[in-house]
Amino acid sequence: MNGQERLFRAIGNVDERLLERSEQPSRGRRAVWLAAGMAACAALAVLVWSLLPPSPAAISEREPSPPPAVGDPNPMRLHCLELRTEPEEPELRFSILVNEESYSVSEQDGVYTILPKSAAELPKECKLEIFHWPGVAVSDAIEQIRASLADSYSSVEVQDSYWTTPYSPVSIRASEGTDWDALQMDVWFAEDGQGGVFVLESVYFLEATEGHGLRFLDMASTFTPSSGETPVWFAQLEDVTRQLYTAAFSNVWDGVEGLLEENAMIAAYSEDLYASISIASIDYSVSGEAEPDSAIVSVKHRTGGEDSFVYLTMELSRTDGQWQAGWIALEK
Amino acid sequence: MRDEEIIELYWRRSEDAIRATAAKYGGYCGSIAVNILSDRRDAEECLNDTWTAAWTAMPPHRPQRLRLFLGKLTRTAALDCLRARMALKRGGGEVPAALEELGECVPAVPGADQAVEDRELERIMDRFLHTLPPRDCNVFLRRYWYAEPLEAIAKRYGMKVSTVKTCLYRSRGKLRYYLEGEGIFL
Repeated sequence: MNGQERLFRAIGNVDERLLERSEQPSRGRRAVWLAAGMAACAALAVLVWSLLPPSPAAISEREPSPPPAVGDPNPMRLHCLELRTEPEEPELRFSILVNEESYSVSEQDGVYTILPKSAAELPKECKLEIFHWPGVAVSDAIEQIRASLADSYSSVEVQDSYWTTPYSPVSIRASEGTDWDALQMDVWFAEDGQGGVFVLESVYFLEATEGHGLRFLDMASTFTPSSGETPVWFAQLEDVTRQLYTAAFSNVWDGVEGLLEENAMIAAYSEDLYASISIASIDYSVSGEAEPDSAIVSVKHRTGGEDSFVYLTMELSRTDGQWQAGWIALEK
Repeated sequence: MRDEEIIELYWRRSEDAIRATAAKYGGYCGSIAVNILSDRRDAEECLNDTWTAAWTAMPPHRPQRLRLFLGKLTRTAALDCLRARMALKRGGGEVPAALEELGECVPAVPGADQAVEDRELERIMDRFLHTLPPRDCNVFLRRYWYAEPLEAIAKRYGMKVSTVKTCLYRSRGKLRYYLEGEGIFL
């Protein structure tokens, strides 16, 4: 009998209570919030995605109640972008709801991109990109983008009555023409509250206007610059995360014992690599009935400029207001 | 009929015990057998083996949870049947895929003192499963205890198939790490 078969058989005598529990079907959709944040630290070139759970009330107030997508029963996930271009600058954040069944999200060089999962099958590119312009007023951003689009699109309109969003009362619509595959573009602008602007650009082809075009509008309509209020549980989670990844990257665990569960499993670096680590993003996936009680945090990083990315994944649980990790490991 | 009554029939050596068991748990045990064997005829033979094993075990055994007790007997019988069948080069349901997946968990470089005994391995697996978050543990058991297809697991728990795959991948990584930590050599 080989190792696999021995394992398979050994599972057979597992605690019956676990088997009983596994027989219960899902009690319905749990509130699962994916947190992603991004910070670009000049010194470390660190980009950190963070995520906050949505306040249902706040969202319902801000959403213009876009029509639900037909045949799309999947949960939306709230993403909150945390952007810090310089260490001494105040944090910037935004949140946006994304249907992750149909769309993927990624970040590259400070640009947050939402792509249809069926992108490879589409005849033309469809995407929604979000980026931040520090120190640029909305009016200046509108003018600059309008001028740049005029070179490549046959029509460019600035409008304030249609295809706008709660945080972008003015938008730009650009069109290559009326052929079925003519590129279309919508651009929204939202003040960051600190003298800069968040820009949301959606690109799709004409025939996809009622599909991806409207979906992008729906997503953009949920875009909300952060009010700066961070739930206590999330601030604690961020803090614990920072301490743990610092320990993991420097291979110094003294001082963080209290953040580890008893018998926590740790498989991280065996030497101090902190100085050479570059973090690309941190994803927080949080779940819980009322308040989050568990989280999976994935720290995307690399140890050198050209190295491929590695993920430091941590599983944490929250008991009596304290986040603790039970499992920390590196994953390719 | 209540489980206690069925168990009592076994203890009284009444042949009604097997009829009552088959009536109440034939579907449950049959689904386990079919998942593992992917052949209804083999599954029926496996069920007969299960009822025989139950008849042999009770008495002296008096299971706390008859359903799960029978499920375990079915699983063991199905695996024995599958093993014989694989020796004859016949395929078998979800198990070959599940076994291949579990291959990732077998420590490649033995850092252990000695090969672990079966009973100890069972205890280690039990302890490991208790370390998993409930959802991950459920998914793991549906796949590697019940040999359920990924799609069925996804449907049961309202998950995407890709999420099920990711969940299993993560759990297998943990298992491998756990086994290595325990110094297990299989």
